[in-house]
Amino acid sequence: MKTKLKKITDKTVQDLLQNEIILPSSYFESFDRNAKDIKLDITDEEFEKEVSDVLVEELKNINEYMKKTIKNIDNLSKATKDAQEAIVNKDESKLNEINTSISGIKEELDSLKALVYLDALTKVYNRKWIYNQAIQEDGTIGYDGILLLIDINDFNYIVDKYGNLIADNVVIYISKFLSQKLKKESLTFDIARYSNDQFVLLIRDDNLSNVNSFVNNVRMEFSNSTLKSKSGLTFKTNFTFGATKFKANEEFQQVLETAANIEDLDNEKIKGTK
Amino acid sequence: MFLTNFLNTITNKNTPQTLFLIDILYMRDINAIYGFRNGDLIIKQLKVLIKELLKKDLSFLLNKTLHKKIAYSLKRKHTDVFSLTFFEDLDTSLLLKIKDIILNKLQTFQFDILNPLMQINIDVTIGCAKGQCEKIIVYAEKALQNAKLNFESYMYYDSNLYANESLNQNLVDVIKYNIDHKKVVPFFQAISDNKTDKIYKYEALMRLYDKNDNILLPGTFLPKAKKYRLYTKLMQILITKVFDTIIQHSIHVSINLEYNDIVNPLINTTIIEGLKKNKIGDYLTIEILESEKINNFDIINEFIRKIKQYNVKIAIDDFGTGFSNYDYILKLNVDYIKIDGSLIEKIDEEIYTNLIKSIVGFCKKQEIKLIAEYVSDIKKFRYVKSLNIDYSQGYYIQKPLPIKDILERNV
Repeated sequence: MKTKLKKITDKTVQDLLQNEIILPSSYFESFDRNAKDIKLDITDEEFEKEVSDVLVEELKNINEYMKKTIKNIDNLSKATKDAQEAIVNKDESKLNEINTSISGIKEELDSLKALVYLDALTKVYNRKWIYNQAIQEDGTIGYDGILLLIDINDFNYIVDKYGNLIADNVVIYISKFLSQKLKKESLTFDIARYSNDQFVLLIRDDNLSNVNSFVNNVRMEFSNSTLKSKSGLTFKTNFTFGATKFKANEEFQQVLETAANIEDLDNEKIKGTK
Repeated sequence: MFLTNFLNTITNKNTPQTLFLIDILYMRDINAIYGFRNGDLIIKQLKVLIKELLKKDLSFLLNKTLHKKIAYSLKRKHTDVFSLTFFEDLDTSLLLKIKDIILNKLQTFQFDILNPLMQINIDVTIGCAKGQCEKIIVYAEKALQNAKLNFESYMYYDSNLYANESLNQNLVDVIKYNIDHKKVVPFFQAISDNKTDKIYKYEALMRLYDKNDNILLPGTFLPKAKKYRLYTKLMQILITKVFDTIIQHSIHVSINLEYNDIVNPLINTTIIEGLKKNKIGDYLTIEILESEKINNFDIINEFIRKIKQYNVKIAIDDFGTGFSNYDYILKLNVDYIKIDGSLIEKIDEEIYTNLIKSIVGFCKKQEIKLIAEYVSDIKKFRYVKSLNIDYSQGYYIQKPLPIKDILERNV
């Protein structure tokens, strides 16, 4: 059930992201529509229970973050007070001590930040990272580069037939495979999981034909490898991709759409050659 | 009634099928050790066993799960392979149960042989696939091969996930196209002298073009090219093109050869004949890469002796991992050693620094020059220089480029 909810959420967020303002009502409307598409009865009692479970879990996470943050703030205010006293008393050793404790707090906060912006499954960035960190307040990316959109093929088929555990492993494998290959090619990039079966990569490079030809090679290499599960299932899966150049002042959402369109063409080309 | 149904089912091509291939492992060994009559006896018993399973355990399982009778057929496919077909799209969890029942029975059964005092065990591997198409046998065969290669007892291929294999089929076409139109080209990656920071020579790396003129890298096409026995042709074209480049532009180039290439008479002759015809030996280095353990050093040494007459230099590729070792170098008359890229990648970790230091120490004493690969950033470049390695190659120095770009840069 949770995966279904995630699916609906993904779809809803995708539908609405373009809007400048998203009112709770429009969210609900779209969520409702998508729930119907995915054949989920939201008035169902079972569903209500599942939703509240999910909410409880989310709340637990938020509580966890809050607790840690509050603890850090407490530590910080104590450090500030101590610092003031130390400065008045010209107590150097005390100041050193405070310095260490502030560094500790900074590390804690950084690791918290990492938790918020990392995808729990693949350990690459999540979508929150894209919208809160990668792009600026005006929706632009802020530097010139190449956006690469990756879609895992047959993902829903794998989920339906073999379950989430195996599908998750496919996602992890593909994200690792991609990251390794790009690193080897000495490309500077950030990779984020955009939805269940999609990755967005922001590459700091301006040679689009090079990147295209490179990703094409990575894909062919990938299609030559076979994945294997412990129960003796062997797989072949692959991905489609779209890459496009962007300028510092271009809006992320626009660029993403361009990449998605290019990916559609790529997909048609592959299917057309059958 | 059941019989007509059965006949209809199995003659209808659209009936979904689930196919198990059951392969007796080391059947040849069994024949060799116990004799063919015993081998035949074992196969007979095996067939009876599977039939019994079909009548009892498997029928029971299928009846219980699907509440109906499932048509099946059992055939002996090759000497040591049985094919068992169920005319039904069986669920994957059911496949696992069937597999377990078969494996369990066959692997624990004591097989009689002609000597009444003895019984033996056998081992089997199962490949499984399902679908509607006629290709299902190919997938099951693939699953079986894959299982054997990985020393697994069972493997299952989902033919639905292979529907998009056109990408791969294309690759073979692309390789053929590259051979027919001599599209194979060398790209050249600079190797720089760490004392002067000047380019010392280039390594030639194979590239292909697909029909849209996208460049293909070796990682993409080499495994396929080898599998489809097209690799030798690619190498021959590459070598000829590298020789032409040397003749035209007088640049120093090294070519990679695997042990198999040296043993291959076609490639071997292409090189020796090329050296005879053109005076290019001074410009050529051969990098030898061990893809498997070398047992016959005589062939390699003979090849080295021949090409050294033309002043060709010899390098050992990927030193420090795999099969390459000091013993190997001492047996061959070597001019350069290329330290494996995976070691250079970790050059800043103390144990790897020490390992590389020891390689450097050895080579200095033996008067062998050293090349570091994968020098991808300034940090690695500095480490490499500080350890007294003679030459550097990698993205920090230069990416592999087509010859026209190299010439432009040199102007």
